Amino acid sequence: MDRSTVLGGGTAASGAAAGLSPSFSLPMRHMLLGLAGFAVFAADLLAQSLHLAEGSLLGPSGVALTHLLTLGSLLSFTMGAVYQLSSVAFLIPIAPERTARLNFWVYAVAVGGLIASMATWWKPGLVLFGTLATLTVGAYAGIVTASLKRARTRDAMYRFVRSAHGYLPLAVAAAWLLIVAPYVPWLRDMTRELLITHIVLAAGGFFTLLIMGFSFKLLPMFTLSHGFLNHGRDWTLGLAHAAVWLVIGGAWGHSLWIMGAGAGAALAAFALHLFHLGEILRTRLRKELEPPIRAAAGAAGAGLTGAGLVMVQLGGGRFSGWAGLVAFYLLGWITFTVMGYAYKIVPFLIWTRRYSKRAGKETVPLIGDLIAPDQARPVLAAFAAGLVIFSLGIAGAWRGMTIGGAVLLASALAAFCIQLFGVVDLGKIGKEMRVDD
Amino acid sequence: MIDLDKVRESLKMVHDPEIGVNVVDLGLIYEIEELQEGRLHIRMTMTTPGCPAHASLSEAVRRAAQRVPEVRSVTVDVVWDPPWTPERLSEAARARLGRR
Repeated sequence: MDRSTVLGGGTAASGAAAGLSPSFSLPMRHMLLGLAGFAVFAADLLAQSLHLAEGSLLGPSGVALTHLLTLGSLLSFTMGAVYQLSSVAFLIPIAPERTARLNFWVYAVAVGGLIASMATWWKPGLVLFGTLATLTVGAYAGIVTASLKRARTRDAMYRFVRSAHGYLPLAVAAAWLLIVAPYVPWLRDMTRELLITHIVLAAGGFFTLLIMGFSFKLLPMFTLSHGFLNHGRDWTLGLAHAAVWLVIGGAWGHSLWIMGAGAGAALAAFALHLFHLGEILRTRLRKELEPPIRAAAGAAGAGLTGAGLVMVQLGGGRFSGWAGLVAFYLLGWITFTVMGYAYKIVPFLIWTRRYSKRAGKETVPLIGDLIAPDQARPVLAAFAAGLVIFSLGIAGAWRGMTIGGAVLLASALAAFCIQLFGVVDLGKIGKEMRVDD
Repeated sequence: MIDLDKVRESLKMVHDPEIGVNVVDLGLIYEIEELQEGRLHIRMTMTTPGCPAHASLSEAVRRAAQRVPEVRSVTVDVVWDPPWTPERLSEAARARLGRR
Protein backbone atom coordinates (compact mmCIF):
# COMPACT_ATOMS: atom_id res chain seq x y z
CA MET A 1 0.00 0.00 0.00
CA ASP A 2 1.33 3.47 -0.84
CA ARG A 3 2.55 5.44 2.08
CA SER A 4 4.14 8.83 2.26
CA THR A 5 7.45 7.35 3.43
CA VAL A 6 8.18 6.02 -0.05
CA LEU A 7 10.52 8.73 -1.19
CA GLY A 8 12.83 9.42 -4.07
CA GLY A 9 16.45 8.53 -3.47
CA GLY A 10 19.98 9.62 -3.99
CA THR A 11 21.74 12.89 -4.25
CA ALA A 12 20.66 13.46 -7.83
CA ALA A 13 17.56 15.21 -6.60
CA SER A 14 19.46 17.18 -4.01
CA GLY A 15 20.32 20.09 -6.19
CA ALA A 16 17.07 19.87 -8.06
CA ALA A 17 14.91 21.97 -5.80
CA ALA A 18 17.53 24.67 -5.45
CA GLY A 19 17.28 27.31 -8.13
CA LEU A 20 14.05 25.98 -9.60
CA SER A 21 11.72 28.39 -7.85
CA PRO A 22 10.67 31.31 -10.02
CA SER A 23 11.91 34.74 -9.03
CA PHE A 24 10.04 36.21 -6.10
CA SER A 25 8.18 38.81 -8.15
CA LEU A 26 6.31 36.29 -10.35
CA PRO A 27 4.22 34.60 -7.66
CA MET A 28 4.13 37.69 -5.45
CA ARG A 29 2.68 40.00 -8.12
CA HIS A 30 -0.12 37.53 -8.80
CA MET A 31 -0.80 37.12 -5.09
CA LEU A 32 -0.82 40.87 -4.50
CA LEU A 33 -3.29 41.32 -7.34
CA GLY A 34 -5.37 38.56 -5.77
CA LEU A 35 -5.28 40.25 -2.36
CA ALA A 36 -6.21 43.58 -3.91
CA GLY A 37 -9.03 41.75 -5.68
CA PHE A 38 -10.26 40.36 -2.36
CA ALA A 39 -10.23 43.86 -0.87
CA VAL A 40 -12.25 45.34 -3.76
CA PHE A 41 -14.58 42.33 -3.68
CA ALA A 42 -15.19 42.90 0.04
CA ALA A 43 -16.05 46.57 -0.57
CA ASP A 44 -18.29 45.71 -3.53
CA LEU A 45 -20.01 42.93 -1.59
CA LEU A 46 -20.81 45.39 1.15
CA ALA A 47 -22.04 47.98 -1.33
CA GLN A 48 -24.17 45.45 -3.16
CA SER A 49 -25.58 43.58 -0.19
CA LEU A 50 -28.92 45.40 -0.55
CA HIS A 51 -29.21 44.50 -4.25
CA LEU A 52 -28.16 40.92 -3.59
CA ALA A 53 -30.89 40.65 -0.99
CA GLU A 54 -33.33 41.57 -3.73
CA GLY A 55 -32.09 38.65 -5.83
CA SER A 56 -30.05 40.52 -8.42
CA LEU A 57 -27.13 38.10 -8.47
CA LEU A 58 -27.52 37.63 -12.22
CA GLY A 59 -27.69 41.34 -13.05
CA PRO A 60 -24.60 43.17 -14.37
CA SER A 61 -23.38 44.19 -10.93
CA GLY A 62 -23.89 40.65 -9.59
CA VAL A 63 -21.97 39.15 -12.52
CA ALA A 64 -19.18 41.70 -12.02
CA LEU A 65 -19.09 40.93 -8.30
CA THR A 66 -18.83 37.18 -8.93
CA HIS A 67 -15.96 37.65 -11.38
CA LEU A 68 -14.25 40.06 -9.04
CA LEU A 69 -14.07 37.08 -6.71
CA THR A 70 -13.27 34.36 -9.25
CA LEU A 71 -11.01 36.13 -11.75
CA GLY A 72 -9.82 39.15 -9.79
CA SER A 73 -9.11 37.40 -6.51
CA LEU A 74 -9.13 33.60 -6.55
CA LEU A 75 -7.61 32.91 -9.95
CA SER A 76 -5.01 35.63 -9.61
CA PHE A 77 -3.89 34.44 -6.19
CA THR A 78 -4.00 30.82 -7.31
CA MET A 79 -1.87 31.51 -10.38
CA GLY A 80 0.84 32.94 -8.13
CA ALA A 81 0.61 30.01 -5.76
CA VAL A 82 0.80 27.52 -8.64
CA TYR A 83 3.92 29.17 -10.07
CA GLN A 84 5.55 28.89 -6.66
CA LEU A 85 4.28 25.46 -5.62
CA SER A 86 4.73 23.65 -8.93
CA SER A 87 8.44 24.27 -8.90
CA VAL A 88 8.90 22.81 -5.42
CA ALA A 89 6.27 20.08 -5.60
CA PHE A 90 7.30 18.72 -8.98
CA LEU A 91 10.94 19.88 -9.02
CA ILE A 92 10.47 21.75 -12.29
CA PRO A 93 11.22 25.30 -13.40
CA ILE A 94 8.40 27.49 -14.66
CA ALA A 95 9.16 27.87 -18.32
CA PRO A 96 9.19 30.22 -19.98
CA GLU A 97 9.19 32.50 -16.93
CA ARG A 98 9.54 35.64 -19.03
CA THR A 99 6.29 34.84 -20.81
CA ALA A 100 4.64 34.23 -17.45
CA ARG A 101 5.78 37.67 -16.27
CA LEU A 102 4.44 39.40 -19.37
CA ASN A 103 1.24 37.42 -19.15
CA PHE A 104 0.61 38.82 -15.69
CA TRP A 105 0.28 42.38 -17.01
CA VAL A 106 -1.99 41.33 -19.85
CA TYR A 107 -4.07 39.35 -17.34
CA ALA A 108 -4.35 42.32 -14.98
CA VAL A 109 -5.53 44.63 -17.80
CA ALA A 110 -7.91 42.01 -19.25
CA VAL A 111 -9.53 41.19 -15.94
CA GLY A 112 -9.82 44.83 -14.88
CA GLY A 113 -11.40 45.73 -18.20
CA LEU A 114 -13.69 42.72 -18.22
CA ILE A 115 -15.03 43.32 -14.72
CA ALA A 116 -15.60 47.01 -15.46
CA SER A 117 -17.38 46.04 -18.70
CA MET A 118 -19.52 43.54 -16.80
CA ALA A 119 -20.50 46.12 -14.20
CA THR A 120 -21.67 48.54 -16.89
CA TRP A 121 -22.67 45.82 -19.38
CA TRP A 122 -20.60 47.52 -22.07
CA LYS A 123 -20.85 44.97 -24.86
CA PRO A 124 -17.77 45.94 -26.93
CA GLY A 125 -15.75 45.85 -23.70
CA LEU A 126 -17.15 42.43 -22.85
CA VAL A 127 -16.03 41.07 -26.23
CA LEU A 128 -12.66 42.84 -26.25
CA PHE A 129 -11.59 42.18 -22.65
CA GLY A 130 -13.35 38.80 -22.58
CA THR A 131 -11.29 37.69 -25.58
CA LEU A 132 -8.13 39.05 -23.98
CA ALA A 133 -8.93 37.32 -20.69
CA THR A 134 -9.59 34.05 -22.52
CA LEU A 135 -6.22 34.30 -24.27
CA THR A 136 -4.26 35.25 -21.15
CA VAL A 137 -5.84 32.57 -18.96
CA GLY A 138 -5.20 30.08 -21.76
CA ALA A 139 -1.59 31.25 -21.90
CA TYR A 140 -1.23 30.70 -18.15
CA ALA A 141 -2.65 27.18 -18.44
CA GLY A 142 -0.30 26.53 -21.36
CA ILE A 143 2.74 27.73 -19.39
CA VAL A 144 1.91 25.50 -16.43
CA THR A 145 1.08 22.51 -18.62
CA ALA A 146 4.32 22.90 -20.57
CA SER A 147 6.26 23.21 -17.30
CA LEU A 148 4.57 20.14 -15.86
CA LYS A 149 5.76 18.05 -18.80
CA ARG A 150 9.23 18.17 -17.27
CA ALA A 151 8.09 16.56 -14.03
CA ARG A 152 9.74 13.21 -13.40
CA THR A 153 7.39 12.08 -10.67
CA ARG A 154 3.88 11.78 -11.99
CA ASP A 155 1.85 10.84 -8.97
CA ALA A 156 -1.81 11.53 -8.14
CA MET A 157 -1.02 15.13 -7.18
CA TYR A 158 0.49 15.65 -10.63
CA ARG A 159 -2.61 14.23 -12.30
CA PHE A 160 -4.89 16.51 -10.27
CA VAL A 161 -2.88 19.63 -11.12
CA ARG A 162 -2.48 18.66 -14.77
CA SER A 163 -6.21 17.93 -15.10
CA ALA A 164 -7.11 21.23 -13.45
CA HIS A 165 -5.08 23.08 -16.04
CA GLY A 166 -6.83 21.16 -18.76
CA TYR A 167 -10.20 22.33 -17.48
CA LEU A 168 -9.22 25.99 -17.12
CA PRO A 169 -8.96 26.84 -20.85
CA LEU A 170 -12.23 24.98 -21.43
CA ALA A 171 -13.90 27.04 -18.69
CA VAL A 172 -12.78 30.35 -20.19
CA ALA A 173 -13.67 29.14 -23.68
CA ALA A 174 -17.20 28.45 -22.41
CA ALA A 175 -17.24 31.95 -20.89
CA TRP A 176 -16.14 33.46 -24.20
CA LEU A 177 -18.92 31.61 -26.00
CA LEU A 178 -21.35 33.07 -23.45
CA ILE A 179 -20.08 36.56 -24.26
CA VAL A 180 -20.42 36.14 -28.02
CA ALA A 181 -23.63 34.09 -27.84
CA PRO A 182 -25.91 37.11 -28.43
CA TYR A 183 -24.18 37.69 -31.81
CA VAL A 184 -24.20 34.06 -32.96
CA PRO A 185 -27.63 32.75 -33.97
CA TRP A 186 -27.00 29.08 -33.14
CA LEU A 187 -25.65 29.95 -29.69
CA ARG A 188 -28.42 32.32 -28.64
CA ASP A 189 -30.62 29.62 -27.16
CA MET A 190 -27.83 27.84 -25.37
CA THR A 191 -26.89 30.40 -22.76
CA ARG A 192 -28.26 28.34 -19.85
CA GLU A 193 -26.25 25.29 -20.90
CA LEU A 194 -23.16 27.39 -21.54
CA LEU A 195 -23.49 29.08 -18.16
CA ILE A 196 -23.70 25.74 -16.34
CA THR A 197 -20.77 24.43 -18.39
CA HIS A 198 -18.69 27.50 -17.56
CA ILE A 199 -19.45 27.35 -13.84
CA VAL A 200 -18.86 23.60 -13.56
CA LEU A 201 -15.62 23.65 -15.56
CA ALA A 202 -14.24 26.60 -13.59
CA ALA A 203 -15.40 25.80 -10.07
CA GLY A 204 -15.59 22.01 -10.31
CA GLY A 205 -12.95 21.30 -12.92
CA PHE A 206 -10.22 23.84 -12.30
CA PHE A 207 -10.42 25.10 -8.73
CA THR A 208 -11.62 21.88 -7.15
CA LEU A 209 -9.03 19.62 -8.76
CA LEU A 210 -6.26 22.13 -8.14
CA ILE A 211 -7.10 22.53 -4.46
CA MET A 212 -7.52 18.80 -3.94
CA GLY A 213 -4.21 18.10 -5.68
CA PHE A 214 -2.13 20.66 -3.85
CA SER A 215 -3.74 19.74 -0.51
CA PHE A 216 -1.75 16.52 -0.74
CA LYS A 217 1.39 18.62 -0.63
CA LEU A 218 0.42 21.58 1.53
CA LEU A 219 -1.40 19.84 4.35
CA PRO A 220 1.40 17.37 5.20
CA MET A 221 3.96 20.15 4.85
CA PHE A 222 2.31 22.49 7.32
CA THR A 223 1.33 19.78 9.79
CA LEU A 224 4.53 17.76 9.40
CA SER A 225 2.54 14.62 8.69
CA HIS A 226 4.35 11.43 8.01
CA GLY A 227 3.43 7.89 7.04
CA PHE A 228 -0.12 8.57 5.87
CA LEU A 229 -1.90 6.48 3.27
CA ASN A 230 -1.71 7.70 -0.32
CA HIS A 231 -3.86 4.93 -1.65
CA GLY A 232 -7.08 5.76 -3.52
CA ARG A 233 -6.34 9.32 -4.56
CA ASP A 234 -6.88 8.42 -8.19
CA TRP A 235 -10.38 7.31 -7.26
CA THR A 236 -11.05 10.82 -6.00
CA LEU A 237 -9.74 12.20 -9.28
CA GLY A 238 -11.87 9.79 -11.33
CA LEU A 239 -14.98 10.67 -9.35
CA ALA A 240 -14.29 14.38 -9.74
CA HIS A 241 -13.88 14.00 -13.51
CA ALA A 242 -17.11 12.00 -13.64
CA ALA A 243 -18.90 14.68 -11.63
CA VAL A 244 -17.83 17.44 -14.00
CA TRP A 245 -18.86 15.64 -17.17
CA LEU A 246 -22.09 14.18 -15.79
CA VAL A 247 -23.33 17.58 -14.63
CA ILE A 248 -22.38 19.16 -17.96
CA GLY A 249 -23.86 16.24 -19.91
CA GLY A 250 -27.05 16.47 -17.86
CA ALA A 251 -27.31 20.20 -18.52
CA TRP A 252 -26.98 19.78 -22.29
CA GLY A 253 -29.24 16.72 -22.30
CA HIS A 254 -31.77 18.47 -20.06
CA SER A 255 -31.68 15.57 -17.63
CA LEU A 256 -31.84 16.36 -13.94
CA TRP A 257 -31.18 12.66 -13.35
CA ILE A 258 -27.79 12.78 -15.03
CA MET A 259 -26.97 16.03 -13.27
CA GLY A 260 -27.97 14.38 -10.00
CA ALA A 261 -25.62 11.48 -10.75
CA GLY A 262 -22.88 14.07 -11.30
CA ALA A 263 -23.63 15.65 -7.94
CA GLY A 264 -23.47 12.17 -6.42
CA ALA A 265 -20.04 11.62 -7.95
CA ALA A 266 -18.94 14.99 -6.56
CA LEU A 267 -20.25 14.00 -3.14
CA ALA A 268 -18.27 10.75 -3.27
CA ALA A 269 -15.15 12.62 -4.46
CA PHE A 270 -15.38 15.04 -1.53
CA ALA A 271 -16.02 12.20 0.93
CA LEU A 272 -12.93 10.39 -0.31
CA HIS A 273 -10.93 13.60 -0.27
CA LEU A 274 -11.97 14.26 3.32
CA PHE A 275 -10.88 10.73 4.19
CA HIS A 276 -7.44 11.46 2.74
CA LEU A 277 -7.21 14.80 4.55
CA GLY A 278 -8.22 13.06 7.77
CA GLU A 279 -5.53 10.46 7.19
CA ILE A 280 -2.91 13.19 6.75
CA LEU A 281 -4.06 14.97 9.91
CA ARG A 282 -4.13 11.71 11.87
CA THR A 283 -0.43 11.17 11.20
CA ARG A 284 0.68 14.75 11.85
CA LEU A 285 3.63 15.40 14.10
CA ARG A 286 2.56 18.95 14.96
CA LYS A 287 -0.02 18.37 17.61
CA GLU A 288 -1.64 21.79 17.44
CA LEU A 289 -3.70 22.42 14.35
CA GLU A 290 -3.32 26.08 13.44
CA PRO A 291 -6.50 28.00 12.48
CA PRO A 292 -5.45 28.53 8.81
CA ILE A 293 -4.83 24.81 8.39
CA ARG A 294 -8.04 23.96 10.21
CA ALA A 295 -9.87 26.26 7.77
CA ALA A 296 -8.16 24.89 4.68
CA ALA A 297 -8.92 21.31 5.67
CA GLY A 298 -12.41 22.08 6.95
CA ALA A 299 -13.34 23.85 3.72
CA ALA A 300 -13.59 20.45 2.06
CA GLY A 301 -16.59 19.92 4.33
CA ALA A 302 -18.25 22.88 2.61
CA GLY A 303 -17.56 21.25 -0.75
CA LEU A 304 -19.11 18.03 0.49
CA THR A 305 -22.13 19.90 1.83
CA GLY A 306 -22.54 21.83 -1.42
CA ALA A 307 -22.41 18.68 -3.53
CA GLY A 308 -24.84 16.96 -1.17
CA LEU A 309 -27.33 19.82 -1.32
CA VAL A 310 -27.24 19.84 -5.13
CA MET A 311 -27.84 16.09 -5.18
CA VAL A 312 -30.77 16.35 -2.77
CA GLN A 313 -32.32 19.13 -4.86
CA LEU A 314 -31.88 17.32 -8.15
CA GLY A 315 -33.12 14.07 -6.64
CA GLY A 316 -36.31 15.93 -5.82
CA GLY A 317 -36.68 16.84 -9.51
CA ARG A 318 -35.94 20.54 -9.11
CA PHE A 319 -33.04 22.88 -8.88
CA SER A 320 -34.06 26.08 -7.18
CA GLY A 321 -31.79 28.24 -5.06
CA TRP A 322 -28.81 27.33 -7.21
CA ALA A 323 -27.32 30.81 -6.94
CA GLY A 324 -27.06 30.35 -3.18
CA LEU A 325 -25.42 26.97 -3.69
CA VAL A 326 -22.90 28.36 -6.16
CA ALA A 327 -22.12 31.17 -3.71
CA PHE A 328 -21.73 28.63 -0.91
CA TYR A 329 -19.40 26.46 -3.02
CA LEU A 330 -17.29 29.39 -4.26
CA LEU A 331 -16.98 31.01 -0.87
CA GLY A 332 -17.08 27.99 1.42
CA TRP A 333 -14.90 25.53 -0.45
CA ILE A 334 -12.71 27.54 -2.79
CA THR A 335 -12.32 30.92 -1.07
CA PHE A 336 -12.04 29.50 2.44
CA THR A 337 -9.31 27.07 1.34
CA VAL A 338 -7.42 29.82 -0.47
CA MET A 339 -7.67 32.09 2.58
CA GLY A 340 -6.39 29.35 4.89
CA TYR A 341 -3.38 28.54 2.74
CA ALA A 342 -2.75 32.22 1.97
CA TYR A 343 -2.03 32.75 5.67
CA LYS A 344 0.81 30.25 5.28
CA ILE A 345 2.06 30.85 1.73
CA VAL A 346 2.35 34.65 1.73
CA PRO A 347 4.40 34.84 4.97
CA PHE A 348 6.60 32.01 3.69
CA LEU A 349 7.38 33.90 0.49
CA ILE A 350 8.10 37.09 2.42
CA TRP A 351 10.32 35.22 4.89
CA THR A 352 12.27 33.64 2.05
CA ARG A 353 12.79 37.01 0.36
CA ARG A 354 13.70 39.02 3.45
CA TYR A 355 15.33 36.64 5.88
CA SER A 356 16.51 33.40 4.25
CA LYS A 357 19.83 34.90 3.13
CA ARG A 358 20.58 35.94 6.70
CA ALA A 359 19.63 32.60 8.25
CA GLY A 360 22.69 30.78 9.52
CA LYS A 361 24.60 34.04 9.95
CA GLU A 362 22.41 35.62 12.57
CA THR A 363 19.17 35.03 14.43
CA VAL A 364 16.26 35.66 12.09
CA PRO A 365 12.52 35.73 12.76
CA LEU A 366 10.43 32.65 12.15
CA ILE A 367 7.45 32.69 9.81
CA GLY A 368 5.18 32.69 12.84
CA ASP A 369 6.82 35.95 13.93
CA LEU A 370 5.62 37.66 10.75
CA ILE A 371 2.03 36.79 11.55
CA ALA A 372 0.97 34.56 14.41
CA PRO A 373 -1.36 31.81 13.11
CA ASP A 374 -3.80 32.60 15.93
CA GLN A 375 -4.40 36.06 14.44
CA ALA A 376 -6.29 34.31 11.66
CA ARG A 377 -8.74 32.67 14.06
CA PRO A 378 -11.33 35.48 14.46
CA VAL A 379 -11.12 36.36 10.77
CA LEU A 380 -11.74 32.82 9.61
CA ALA A 381 -14.46 32.28 12.21
CA ALA A 382 -16.27 35.44 11.07
CA PHE A 383 -15.95 34.35 7.45
CA ALA A 384 -17.38 30.91 8.22
CA ALA A 385 -20.33 32.41 10.08
CA GLY A 386 -20.90 34.96 7.30
CA LEU A 387 -20.78 32.22 4.70
CA VAL A 388 -23.56 30.20 6.29
CA ILE A 389 -25.78 33.22 6.92
CA PHE A 390 -25.19 34.72 3.46
CA SER A 391 -25.78 31.46 1.57
CA LEU A 392 -28.99 30.76 3.47
CA GLY A 393 -30.10 34.33 2.83
CA ILE A 394 -29.45 34.09 -0.91
CA ALA A 395 -31.03 30.63 -1.23
CA GLY A 396 -34.13 31.59 0.73
CA ALA A 397 -34.28 35.19 -0.53
CA TRP A 398 -34.20 36.40 3.08
CA ARG A 399 -33.17 40.03 3.00
CA GLY A 400 -31.90 40.45 6.56
CA MET A 401 -29.81 37.28 6.47
CA THR A 402 -28.31 38.14 3.09
CA ILE A 403 -27.26 41.59 4.25
CA GLY A 404 -26.00 40.37 7.62
CA GLY A 405 -24.04 37.55 5.99
CA ALA A 406 -22.57 39.89 3.38
CA VAL A 407 -21.44 42.33 6.08
CA LEU A 408 -19.74 39.53 8.01
CA LEU A 409 -18.08 38.13 4.89
CA ALA A 410 -16.90 41.55 3.75
CA SER A 411 -15.54 42.40 7.21
CA ALA A 412 -13.67 39.12 7.44
CA LEU A 413 -12.18 39.54 3.97
CA ALA A 414 -11.16 43.11 4.75
CA ALA A 415 -9.41 41.96 7.94
CA PHE A 416 -7.76 39.13 5.98
CA CYS A 417 -6.39 41.63 3.44
CA ILE A 418 -5.22 44.06 6.12
CA GLN A 419 -3.36 41.27 7.92
CA LEU A 420 -1.64 39.95 4.81
CA PHE A 421 -0.84 43.39 3.42
CA GLY A 422 0.73 44.02 6.83
CA VAL A 423 2.95 40.97 6.37
CA VAL A 424 3.83 42.00 2.83
CA ASP A 425 4.59 45.61 3.88
CA LEU A 426 3.52 47.64 0.88
CA GLY A 427 6.28 50.18 1.56
CA LYS A 428 8.97 47.59 0.79
CA ILE A 429 7.44 45.12 -1.60
CA GLY A 430 7.47 47.24 -4.77
CA LYS A 431 11.21 47.80 -4.60
CA GLU A 432 11.87 44.15 -3.77
CA MET A 433 9.90 42.99 -6.80
CA ARG A 434 11.59 45.48 -9.11
CA VAL A 435 15.00 44.26 -7.92
CA ASP A 436 13.98 40.71 -8.81
CA ASP A 437 12.69 41.60 -12.27
CA MET B 1 41.31 20.06 13.01
CA ILE B 2 37.68 21.16 13.14
CA ASP B 3 35.76 20.63 16.36
CA LEU B 4 32.68 18.89 14.96
CA ASP B 5 30.75 19.45 18.19
CA LYS B 6 31.20 23.16 17.68
CA VAL B 7 29.86 22.81 14.15
CA ARG B 8 26.85 20.86 15.39
CA GLU B 9 26.23 23.54 18.00
CA SER B 10 26.48 26.26 15.36
CA LEU B 11 23.98 24.44 13.14
CA LYS B 12 21.45 24.70 15.97
CA MET B 13 20.98 28.34 15.06
CA VAL B 14 19.37 27.23 11.78
CA HIS B 15 15.66 26.74 12.30
CA ASP B 16 13.00 25.41 10.02
CA PRO B 17 11.19 28.74 9.62
CA GLU B 18 7.76 27.14 9.64
CA ILE B 19 8.15 24.69 12.49
CA GLY B 20 10.55 26.67 14.63
CA VAL B 21 12.77 23.69 15.44
CA ASN B 22 16.47 23.72 14.60
CA VAL B 23 17.83 21.39 11.94
CA VAL B 24 19.86 19.35 14.42
CA ASP B 25 16.90 18.63 16.71
CA LEU B 26 14.77 17.90 13.67
CA GLY B 27 17.25 15.17 12.78
CA LEU B 28 17.98 16.64 9.37
CA ILE B 29 21.76 16.47 9.77
CA TYR B 30 22.97 13.01 8.82
CA GLU B 31 26.72 13.43 8.82
CA ILE B 32 29.37 16.05 9.46
CA GLU B 33 32.90 15.16 8.46
CA GLU B 34 36.16 16.92 7.86
CA LEU B 35 37.39 15.78 4.46
CA GLN B 36 40.70 17.64 4.66
CA GLU B 37 42.15 20.25 6.97
CA GLY B 38 39.48 22.98 7.19
CA ARG B 39 37.22 21.39 4.54
CA LEU B 40 33.87 20.33 5.92
CA HIS B 41 31.27 18.11 4.29
CA ILE B 42 27.70 17.95 5.60
CA ARG B 43 25.08 15.43 4.53
CA MET B 44 21.58 16.48 5.41
CA THR B 45 18.01 15.82 4.40
CA MET B 46 14.61 17.51 4.48
CA THR B 47 11.47 16.24 6.15
CA THR B 48 9.94 15.81 2.70
CA PRO B 49 11.21 15.99 -0.87
CA GLY B 50 10.05 19.16 -2.56
CA CYS B 51 10.30 21.09 0.70
CA PRO B 52 9.93 24.78 -0.22
CA ALA B 53 12.64 25.68 2.27
CA HIS B 54 15.09 23.26 0.63
CA ALA B 55 17.45 25.84 -0.83
CA SER B 56 17.27 28.31 2.03
CA LEU B 57 17.84 25.66 4.73
CA SER B 58 20.82 24.03 3.04
CA GLU B 59 22.38 27.45 2.41
CA ALA B 60 21.74 28.47 6.01
CA VAL B 61 23.44 25.28 7.18
CA ARG B 62 26.48 26.12 5.05
CA ARG B 63 26.63 29.64 6.47
CA ALA B 64 26.21 28.43 10.06
CA ALA B 65 29.03 25.89 9.64
CA GLN B 66 31.29 28.60 8.28
CA ARG B 67 30.90 30.51 11.52
CA VAL B 68 33.17 27.99 13.23
CA PRO B 69 36.67 29.54 13.07
CA GLU B 70 38.59 26.47 11.83
CA VAL B 71 36.21 25.94 8.90
CA ARG B 72 37.59 27.20 5.58
CA SER B 73 35.06 25.70 3.20
CA VAL B 74 31.82 23.76 3.43
CA THR B 75 29.92 21.56 1.01
CA VAL B 76 26.35 20.58 1.81
CA ASP B 77 24.67 17.64 0.15
CA VAL B 78 20.95 17.20 0.54
CA VAL B 79 20.14 13.50 0.27
CA TRP B 80 16.93 11.49 0.36
CA ASP B 81 18.44 8.15 1.21
CA PRO B 82 17.82 7.20 3.94
CA PRO B 83 14.54 9.12 4.06
CA TRP B 84 13.83 11.23 7.10
CA THR B 85 11.55 9.61 9.69
CA PRO B 86 9.96 11.04 12.85
CA GLU B 87 12.23 8.79 14.93
CA ARG B 88 15.03 11.22 14.13
CA LEU B 89 13.35 14.00 16.15
CA SER B 90 15.08 14.88 19.41
CA GLU B 91 13.18 15.08 22.68
CA ALA B 92 13.36 18.88 22.48
CA ALA B 93 11.84 18.82 18.99
CA ARG B 94 9.06 16.49 20.12
CA ALA B 95 8.27 18.82 22.98
CA ARG B 96 8.17 21.81 20.65
CA LEU B 97 5.80 19.98 18.32
CA GLY B 98 3.56 19.10 21.24
CA ARG B 99 4.50 15.38 21.17
CA ARG B 100 6.24 13.52 23.96
